[in-house]
Amino acid sequence: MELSKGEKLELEELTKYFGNFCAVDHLTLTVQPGEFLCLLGPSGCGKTTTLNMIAGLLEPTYGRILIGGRDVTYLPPKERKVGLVFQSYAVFTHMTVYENLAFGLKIRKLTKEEIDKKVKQVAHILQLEDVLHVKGGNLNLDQTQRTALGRALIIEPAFFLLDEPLSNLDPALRAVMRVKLKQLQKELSQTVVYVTHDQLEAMSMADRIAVMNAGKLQQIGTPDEVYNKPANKFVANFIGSPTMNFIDCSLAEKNGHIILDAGDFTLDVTRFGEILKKETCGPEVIMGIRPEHIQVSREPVKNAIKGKVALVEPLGTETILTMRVGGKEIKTLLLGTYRASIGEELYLIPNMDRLHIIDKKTEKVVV
Amino acid sequence: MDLRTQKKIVTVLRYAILIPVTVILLFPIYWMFTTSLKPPEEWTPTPTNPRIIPTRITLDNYVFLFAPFGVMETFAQFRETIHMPLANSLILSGSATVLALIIGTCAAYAMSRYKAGGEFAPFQLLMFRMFPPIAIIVPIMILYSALKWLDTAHGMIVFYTVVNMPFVIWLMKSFFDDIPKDIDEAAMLDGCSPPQVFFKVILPLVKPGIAVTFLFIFIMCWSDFLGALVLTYRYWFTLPIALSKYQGLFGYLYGPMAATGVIAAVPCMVIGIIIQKYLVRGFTFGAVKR
Repeated sequence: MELSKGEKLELEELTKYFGNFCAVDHLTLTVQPGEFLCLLGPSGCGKTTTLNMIAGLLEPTYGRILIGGRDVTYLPPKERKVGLVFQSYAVFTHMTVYENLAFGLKIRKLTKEEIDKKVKQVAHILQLEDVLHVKGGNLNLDQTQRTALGRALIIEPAFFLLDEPLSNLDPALRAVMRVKLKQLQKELSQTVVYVTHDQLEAMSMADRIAVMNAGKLQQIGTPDEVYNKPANKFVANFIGSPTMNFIDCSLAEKNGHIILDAGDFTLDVTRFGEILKKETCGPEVIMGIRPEHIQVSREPVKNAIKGKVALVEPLGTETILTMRVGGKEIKTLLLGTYRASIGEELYLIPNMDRLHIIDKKTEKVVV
Repeated sequence: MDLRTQKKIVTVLRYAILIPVTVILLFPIYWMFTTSLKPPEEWTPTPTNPRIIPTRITLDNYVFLFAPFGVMETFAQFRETIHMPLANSLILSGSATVLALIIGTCAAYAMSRYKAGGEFAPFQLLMFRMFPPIAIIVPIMILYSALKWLDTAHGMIVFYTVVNMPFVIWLMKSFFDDIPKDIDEAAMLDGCSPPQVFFKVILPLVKPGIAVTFLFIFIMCWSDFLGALVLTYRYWFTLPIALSKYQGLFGYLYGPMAATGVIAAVPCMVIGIIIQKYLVRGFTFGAVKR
């Protein structure tokens, strides 16, 4: 079957109010044809509301939705040609897989031969041939999910919306399905909007990630961008596991050097001087550094921070050390097994290239 | 005491309770069935002879109900065939149940999915049914007499439909509530219009619910006594009324009464057997988290 290629999706100033509560706030983004875009955010950030508006299940309060350049803001769902896969899969339990796949085509009044041809092709793509005559209620999770995908695929949608499709699977199957989904999307060159709260899923699958919080778009960029150049404190905090270390600091100038003073330790950040001046960053800042960007030494090193080991979490391929520096806790992530005993004094060496300085007032990442 | 002895004692105790309860529950049915086969002289037990088991079996009681000639001439003055009340009961209960189910199911879906009538509508409806029927039957009779609906088929069908509607809505709504909204939305994205969502996807999913509700409402209509007693008198009275006519000034005709009871039980049992495969699913619907 010649599956149609994915189309472009544009959201313009999309806004949704529930009473006085603003669920989605002036969301503008473009999904390119064939792109895999992840909508990432904590629960209640407006991801699913956005999805429902794109699918046509909710009417936006304000804004426009364009599919392939066509304004569909007020069209009913069936005229949008959107393939939606629900978190619960919504496979019709009283129908066989064949009937489930054929359902959308039957409603669209295709002939029996056409339906049969298409169902067989989709079943082939998704390896559902063996279970075609099994009732939806008797499938296992994996098959149910593929049936749900097939139902979305068979109507040849302009693009796919996937609402946390992997959250019901166990971790092992999830890892497998992540790869399969991504491969399938590339093979069929479909446009996909994928909603998730799991940053790992987003990082591993997406071409671009749109991070949302409280109905607002925080940042949109490639996984590399949102990880290495977070736009604000929320993104910096949300992406990455274990989460970034945040330490309240103040900036001060001493003998031509710019010093980051955390109370218990200081860091020389003269190298960022120009950016800091240009951004007119206030003296109150937050220092942010990812655990994986801190090295540890047993010997005193220049520009290192002295701390005591509070907790050791050996994970096999990596070890998480929780260090106590004065009254603050700093986590570091070390590759391999690192043997340390609780209470031991170690020196932390932050990688200054990976240090972030965040304006405390605006929560914008300056460096 | 070891666990095995404990288990045995529990088993014995369990049967010691269950067997008497079962006997007590089944005895009236047994009594009705055997009495319907007893000749008049054995209808009533005496202190010396409880007549648990009939000594002579006869079909006279049934003949008396359908073609009362040549049998039990002693009771000739009570002769009244039950053809008409039986047909009445079937027609009235059947049509009212179907009608209530059609309207109630649609209403329940609207309430479940579109919050039709607001949050409290289903509860308000159920509250109407909490009126004791005896409190409102006389006003209804006055209303019916003004409408000239007394002792008519349409009058009785409307009465049973309206009276049972809250139950249909309440029951069916709980079945619809158990179906995740995702199913509706998935069907919509597949290209269904809202009516298509209802008829092609949701309705087949609640088949067990419809079966259970049908049986439940049918039994309610079938066993109604008060409504039929007050609102009918000559042409449209039903089986329960016919049954009551066998007790009167001159005594009780236990045999024909029991036979009527057996006949009255048949339709409900037949429906129950037909929809049996749905019943278990229907009764446990929603009890299982998927």
